[in-house]
Amino acid sequence: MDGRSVAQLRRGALPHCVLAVLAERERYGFELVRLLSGTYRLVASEGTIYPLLSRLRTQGLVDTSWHESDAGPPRRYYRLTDAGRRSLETFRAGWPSFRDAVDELVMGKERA
Amino acid sequence: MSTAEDLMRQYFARLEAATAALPHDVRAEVLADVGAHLGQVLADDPTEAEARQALDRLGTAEAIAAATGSDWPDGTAHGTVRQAATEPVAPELLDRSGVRALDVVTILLLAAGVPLALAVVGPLGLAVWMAAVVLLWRSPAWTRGEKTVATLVWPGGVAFPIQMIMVLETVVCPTSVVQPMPFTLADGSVVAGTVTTCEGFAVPLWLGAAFWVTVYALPVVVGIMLLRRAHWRGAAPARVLARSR
Repeated sequence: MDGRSVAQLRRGALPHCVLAVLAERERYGFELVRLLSGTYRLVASEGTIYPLLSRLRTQGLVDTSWHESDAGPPRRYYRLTDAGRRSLETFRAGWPSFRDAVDELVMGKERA
Repeated sequence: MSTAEDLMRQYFARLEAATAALPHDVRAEVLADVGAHLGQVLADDPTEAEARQALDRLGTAEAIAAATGSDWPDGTAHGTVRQAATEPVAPELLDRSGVRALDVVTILLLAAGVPLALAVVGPLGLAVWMAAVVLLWRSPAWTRGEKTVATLVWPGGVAFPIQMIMVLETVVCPTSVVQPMPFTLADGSVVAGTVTTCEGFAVPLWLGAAFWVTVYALPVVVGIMLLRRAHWRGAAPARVLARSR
């Protein structure tokens, strides 16, 4: 066991975080990268978000469309599909108990 | 050729090779998104250091390719990710995968509507054109602006004003007026003749010509525009490289 296991957990949670961010409103790829990599530091390699987006699209959880931008070329926007919304709800339902259990088991001794 | 461009070329060559085993659409999307990302991060003429930093932050080509793999929790693996091959993929191959077959069909149907409508089978042409417009608006390959232009400029769209001008011609010149005009031959005999005049306004030749040019030339221009845009979007790396040149 080493630092990679935390990275693995982070990677496992990332798709759900992307879905959650897209649940607010549609965003283009670079916007998501800035948010998830910059603000939340969930990804070390910015580029790995793009294959994830493509994967979510092939799974039917997100949808894409092109929109003109004020500056530069048109951008590909990603938005949540109904399936994506359901997937997010499922994760939301299961997450707190998982988080609390891991918290208690892993951090329990330190707290006592 | 700048060193920043060399760096990006090498990076995309590695990324193309590393993603070679992925489905075409996924690969095209990832490459396009990474290309767009660099377009956002970097200035028009980045220095070597800027390019290096941007590429470092993106992560290695292999890490990006691996992120399409099957390690997602609910993941259905869609293709084994191959480690970076030694031979980079020819860009032409990549470019061709960029345009979806359905988008090409859309463009062809849009084009097919006109000749069909102009030929005897008007209703069929109209149906084909309407189907094409539905496909056009459902496609993710074009922006709303482009779709609007394609809908309006395409013959189906301009068919209306053309119809109007034809109607106008028959309305303003409903019946040509035939007046008797006898004329005298050289030998002095008189022959009955007529002259046909149109009363009122007739559509000037230049206006008619302009409309027909619109009918035939503009759609071709729009079709090429649609194809190029769809093509570019599947081949953004080339676009980024073009920007940095």
